[in-house]
Amino acid sequence: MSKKQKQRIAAYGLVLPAFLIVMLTVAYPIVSAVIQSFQDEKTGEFTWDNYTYFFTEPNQLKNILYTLMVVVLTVVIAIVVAYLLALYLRFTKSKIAKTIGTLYLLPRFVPAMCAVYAMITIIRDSGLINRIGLLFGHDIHLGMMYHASGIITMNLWFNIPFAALMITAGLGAIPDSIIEGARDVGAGKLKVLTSMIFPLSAKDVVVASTFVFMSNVGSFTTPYLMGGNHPKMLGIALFDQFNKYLKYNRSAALSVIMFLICSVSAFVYIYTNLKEKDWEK
Amino acid sequence: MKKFLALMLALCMVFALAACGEAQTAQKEEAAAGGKTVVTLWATGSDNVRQIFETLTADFNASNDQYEVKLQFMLSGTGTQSLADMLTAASRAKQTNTDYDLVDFSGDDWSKVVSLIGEEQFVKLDGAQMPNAASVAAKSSVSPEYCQPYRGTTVILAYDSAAVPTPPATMDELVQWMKDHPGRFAYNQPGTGGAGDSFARSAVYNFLPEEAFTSDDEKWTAEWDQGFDFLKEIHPYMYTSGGSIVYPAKNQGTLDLLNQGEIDMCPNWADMVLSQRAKGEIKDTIKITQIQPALTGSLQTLAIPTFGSHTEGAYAFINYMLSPRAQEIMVRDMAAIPLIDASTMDMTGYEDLQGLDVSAFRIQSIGGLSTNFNERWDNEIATLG
Amino acid sequence: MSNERKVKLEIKDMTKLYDNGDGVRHINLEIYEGEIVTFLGPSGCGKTTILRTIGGFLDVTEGDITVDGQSIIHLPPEKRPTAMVFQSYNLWPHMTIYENLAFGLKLRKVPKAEIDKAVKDGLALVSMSGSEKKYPGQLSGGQQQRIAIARSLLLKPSLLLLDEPFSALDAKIRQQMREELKKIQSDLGITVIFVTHDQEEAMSLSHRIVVMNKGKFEQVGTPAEIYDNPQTLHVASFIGEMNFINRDGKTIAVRPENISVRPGTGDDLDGTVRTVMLLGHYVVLNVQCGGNVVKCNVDRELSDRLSIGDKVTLKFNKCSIFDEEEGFVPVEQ
Repeated sequence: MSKKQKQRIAAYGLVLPAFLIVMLTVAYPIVSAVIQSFQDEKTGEFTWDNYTYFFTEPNQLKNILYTLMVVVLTVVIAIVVAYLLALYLRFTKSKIAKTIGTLYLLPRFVPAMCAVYAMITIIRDSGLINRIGLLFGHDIHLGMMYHASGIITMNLWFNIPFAALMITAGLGAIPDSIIEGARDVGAGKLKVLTSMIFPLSAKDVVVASTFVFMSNVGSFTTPYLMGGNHPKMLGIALFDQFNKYLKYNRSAALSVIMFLICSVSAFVYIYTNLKEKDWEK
Repeated sequence: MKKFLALMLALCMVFALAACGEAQTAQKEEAAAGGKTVVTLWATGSDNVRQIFETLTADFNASNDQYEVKLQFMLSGTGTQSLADMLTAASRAKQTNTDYDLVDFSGDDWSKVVSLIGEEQFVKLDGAQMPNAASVAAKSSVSPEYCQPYRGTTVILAYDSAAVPTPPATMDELVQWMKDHPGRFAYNQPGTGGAGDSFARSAVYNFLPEEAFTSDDEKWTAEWDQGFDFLKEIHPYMYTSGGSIVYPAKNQGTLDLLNQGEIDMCPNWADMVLSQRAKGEIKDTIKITQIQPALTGSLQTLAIPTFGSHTEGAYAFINYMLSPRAQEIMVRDMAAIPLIDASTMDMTGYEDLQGLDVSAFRIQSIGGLSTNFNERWDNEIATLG
Repeated sequence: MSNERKVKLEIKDMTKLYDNGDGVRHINLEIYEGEIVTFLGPSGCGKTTILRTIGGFLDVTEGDITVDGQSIIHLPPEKRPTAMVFQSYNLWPHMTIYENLAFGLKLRKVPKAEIDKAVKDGLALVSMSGSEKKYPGQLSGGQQQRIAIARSLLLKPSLLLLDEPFSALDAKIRQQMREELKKIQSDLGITVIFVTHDQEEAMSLSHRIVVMNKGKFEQVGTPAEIYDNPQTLHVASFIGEMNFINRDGKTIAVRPENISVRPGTGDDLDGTVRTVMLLGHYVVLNVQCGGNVVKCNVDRELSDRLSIGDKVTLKFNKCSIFDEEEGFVPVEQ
């Protein structure tokens, strides 16, 4: 064997374990799920029924729309809040800003279950806020438990730090001289924001949005513990089909549907990453 | 390249075999501590079940000089092969002298195993080998001669005695109470916890003949309509949050609401309520009561597979489990309902258990119909809003 | 400087301190219309601080800054009649050259046709015509700085502020840029404040130089004044070549070209020739005089007669004497 061949084998050898693991744990389940989703539950013949079920059954259709609503609201609010936070951290040089800058990632380190239960004890109708309200003679019922607003609040807890992390990194890459240059030629703060900071951080915003979107489409813990009975997030609907009703073909179809919803945002992500703007060439 | 691939494949297979091998190597382990015969006990369940079994086997081993019970515990929900599947596989492979000496079953698991491999794969129990069984009145509804119940628990009505001084005694009274106190009652979503399952199914099956309760015949699904209409009727009086009726997930979900004072009553497991109350996790004012017709319960049983090795040792452990000493441990550690006369036991803090008559348990097993039931509930009741 | 000239910018007892105590204190300076004034000093001397307080990017702690007699310290950068060119990353990377140049004009609601013309003229001024559609990333560093200067000039600022604009460029382009800047300045007659740590740049470009050290003005004057009569040891050492000779607790500072050399002994300082280096039209002699090595510029005619080890005597035609207590005593002989 020549030296070159040996090197090549060594190289393949290094890649092979990862390749096999990916094939085994990612590619194979996806392919088999797609196949299963087109099979009839009993006969195993080709059918569209598993898909039409989710788009014709009013309850299932509501689940899809409900999930999209929760996720889109999560993305929009998380990005707006994260952007404001990132702007504050980037352009304020006070001690408070520094402290916030160190602490804002903390929620990422709290285990999901703990965070959800902590949130529940605060927002539930008999929770902390209610008890504080009672001290002042107000019986406050937030009504956020078992309601979309509770799920969104929880999602924000998880996603704002993440989005802020990405956007802060993006804003940090904008040199001061770009902003000062704009101020110098007569741009006010608002104009600097719209003409300089927004366009220069747009990519980070898109990337953060796609990540937040994807990670929330299939979320389970939060809607399971905080969501109502109907409509349901797709993660719960999938759990029902699979674990409660044992409808494996429908589960596969719903998985594929969720995959397609996610892939819309994956496409946006890949597109923004691959397509270099003229000025980035 | 080919050589390398072959090596990788070989490695993968070695791992796979190692995984399978674990079960096989575990099988014959005769070396006994201090000359005692080792009896292997197989059990499954949540972590508190593991703890109680560890306590009980340690207690047994300390007092018995003939047998050493070794616990093989499989934590539920960890995705491993289920105990029922393992027994089925061993039985079908016609293995003998395995270490499946004694197996712990829930009611559901027991019905499943019996339907899979048949009761004749278990030793028909002989009362003479376990004298303590004579005082146990409770019987399994499925193949009662082949398994020995040793503890029970049942779904009861948990209520806050501070808000409800006199709890309802019948289903009709309960319904009247709900209507008088809208928003103060909740049962958890069927499929997310046994208490909700029990309440919803009992409510539906109260309209069906008694035999339907232990049948998985599809014909009964056609007769559910009246029961579901009843569930729809009580729906508006359930717990409300965020402007809509809510059925929380999991048994703990309703119990938390009760403890927080957001509701005054909910169905729940007796052992769960009492053990949490004993630990101070929920309020002292929370009490339990049974309504008529009763909510369903379950019996935990022990059975001896014929393909095990130490039948006598297994009998000895069953006999121990029915002793006042073991029963008291189970009362104190998991608020299990004792199956023998409790008058000789220290029941302080668990007096509520004495009121629960195990022989009056309604045992329900509708098998695969539960799937249809849950789906129908999700589609018809959960969506009412 | 004559008093009839119009004062463009005045800094009155200005102090700017940072949180850590660094900064500049009690700065006073008048800059006249049409002048190029350079702040020269090592990094950290406070020169950029002063420039940024003028541009509005730093608040002053005390004192005042006026342009045409009007105080500007309460105005944000966008309202000040100044334009600044930064060291680097000055252009907006997501805009074309045209958009970069037009941005400020658009903010001023200048009609499109006028913007087009101004951009065209601006690019012509810095010899960058035809680059309208390019992005900054597609241009070299020198080209980018030219555009940056053009962009600042388009707004017809009263004062052009340049913060080490050429420091990232290589030597040859830097030379060209200086010449271009000087030409543009004289064509337009604008007032320019330039910050640099490069003394050669300061000398070649400025009407007046402000030499700074550790937050203070060491000397303000024309390049000739500063070169010929450095008022402090720091100025003397920072500008041009200078020999320092210690004698009786005093330091004599003398430039190599101000020393006459002849063979023999008896003038101001005696020594022996250590090295002879031919640098084209003149020759550098290093003469060992006791503990000092003194550098002297001599002509070929003399150097041809000297070889290493020869005894020579030096005469200082012009020198400055610094006394540790009394400061400086310029001496002309």
